[in-house]
Amino acid sequence: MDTTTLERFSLNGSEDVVRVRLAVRTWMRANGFTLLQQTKMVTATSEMTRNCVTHGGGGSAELQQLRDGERLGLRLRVADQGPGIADLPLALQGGHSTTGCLGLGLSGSKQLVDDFEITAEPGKGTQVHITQWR
Amino acid sequence: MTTSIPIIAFSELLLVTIQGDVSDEQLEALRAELCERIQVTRAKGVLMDISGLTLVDSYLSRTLVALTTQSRLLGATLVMVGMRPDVALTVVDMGLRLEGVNAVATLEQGQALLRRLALASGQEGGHGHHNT
Amino acid sequence: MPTTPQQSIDQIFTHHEPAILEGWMCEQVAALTSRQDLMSTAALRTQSQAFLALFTLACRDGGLVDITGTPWAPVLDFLADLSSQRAKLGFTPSETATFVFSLKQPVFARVREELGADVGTLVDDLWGMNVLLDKLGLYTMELYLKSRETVIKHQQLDMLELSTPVLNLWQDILAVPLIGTLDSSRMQAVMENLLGAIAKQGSPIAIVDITGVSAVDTEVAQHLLKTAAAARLMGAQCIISGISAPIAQTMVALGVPFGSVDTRATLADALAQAFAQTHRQVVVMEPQAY
Repeated sequence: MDTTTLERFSLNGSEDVVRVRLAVRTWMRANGFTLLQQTKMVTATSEMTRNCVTHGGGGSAELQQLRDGERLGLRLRVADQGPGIADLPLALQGGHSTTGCLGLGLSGSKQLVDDFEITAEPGKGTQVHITQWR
Repeated sequence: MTTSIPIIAFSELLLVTIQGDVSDEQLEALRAELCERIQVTRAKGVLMDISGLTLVDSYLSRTLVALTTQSRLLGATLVMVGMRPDVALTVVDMGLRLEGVNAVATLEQGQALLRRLALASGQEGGHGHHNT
Repeated sequence: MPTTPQQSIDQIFTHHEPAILEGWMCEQVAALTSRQDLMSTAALRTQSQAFLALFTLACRDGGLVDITGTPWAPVLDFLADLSSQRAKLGFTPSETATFVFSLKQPVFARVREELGADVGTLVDDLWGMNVLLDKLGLYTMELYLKSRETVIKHQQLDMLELSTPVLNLWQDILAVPLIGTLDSSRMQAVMENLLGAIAKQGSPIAIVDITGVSAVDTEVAQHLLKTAAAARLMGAQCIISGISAPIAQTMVALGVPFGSVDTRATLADALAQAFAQTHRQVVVMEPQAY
């Protein structure tokens, strides 16, 4: 599988969330993804990057193009140095949230994309990879 | 990105048009501004045209619920108009529920719904109506 | 003076083309008697004649061993067209391959006649020609299979389109009649078609009728619920009609939460409901006296 980095972003405020969303939308539209695929990936992107800004104290994001034979995919990697997530399984189940729907954003995004990987050990920050295939 | 979301007043209604990709700050500003405009114009209905809105994530769905609730507290009914199919499917897939938010497909249907609700509450002597 | 296989084959084709064509046609017509409906004998003759001309040229310029060289390109292109044409017409794989393989008989007969006395040359020539025609035959088969795959894919797509029409039942009322077996990919198409139509026409009511559906599993039920939920967000009410008694029982057994969706027993009930929602009434007229 070939991986090419398309663009890197630093995530500090909600303007950055918008920038990454637009980059995802533009690239997917140009590469023949369906409107539904675009909207799902853009929405998941929005959740992940906003989590990074509001819960992780900011961080960085990277867009990668994946090619596996005939298949073309887009991967977003988001990483922060924040507190991580204390109870990850619970957060991924969704529904439970006291600070503002971290749960629904995470569990919901998992339903939107083809691949979803997250590591969030307390004290070691959070790393999320989400991928959508054409 | 600092442009604000427009609110237009017409025939006792407020029309809000959200288009494209909006930032959290724009939405935050909209919440404050809409409250103010409802109070100033004494509008009984708010038509929120989102046919040009390209995504509804958890933040936006919370905003839509909050806008509905705060409008109701100020005596106005908010109706969401024209959510796009890809956006609706994404919202459903995420498991987000826009509880209490009225939805219609077109502006005309929105106006008709607001008229019916106004009529019903008039006949019942100001009793509340229920949401879909 | 000894001749190479290539030279003798070249001579045989140049001097005896009409005879080879006749022999070949006999072989083909015998093999394809049941295929007169797909292709006339005249068309087959034209095709065979064109192939022989290209084949003779390629044998002379390109030799009998390597069919990947430039001189053989026109022959391969011709066979590619023939394969995809026959795949679309509905020929079987063996009927398609017959085109090349049946050329062996007349050519071998002709070679034996010409070189009967010279056994060594005869064997060499026959072997060379045999290998060559096998290569071309296999090439034809491969292309045939590829073309068939394309044909099948197109048919599947067409079926998907055909099987999920969105009807304008009445002003403001859309309907999707579902028939047969529902699977996930078809449900996805139904869902996207219906929601697209709601957005385009601003319809406040959409009826999904499953009278003609044989079985509903959890996945299909989830799709139906999702469609209804998405339609509601878009401002349209979704009514599901035609739920048979067995399907209703299955739904309950599976624990599908259909409580949040409007359901009606029949399409007629759903239409009556839709009329009521859109403030319409159906009135039975008294017969008028003349």
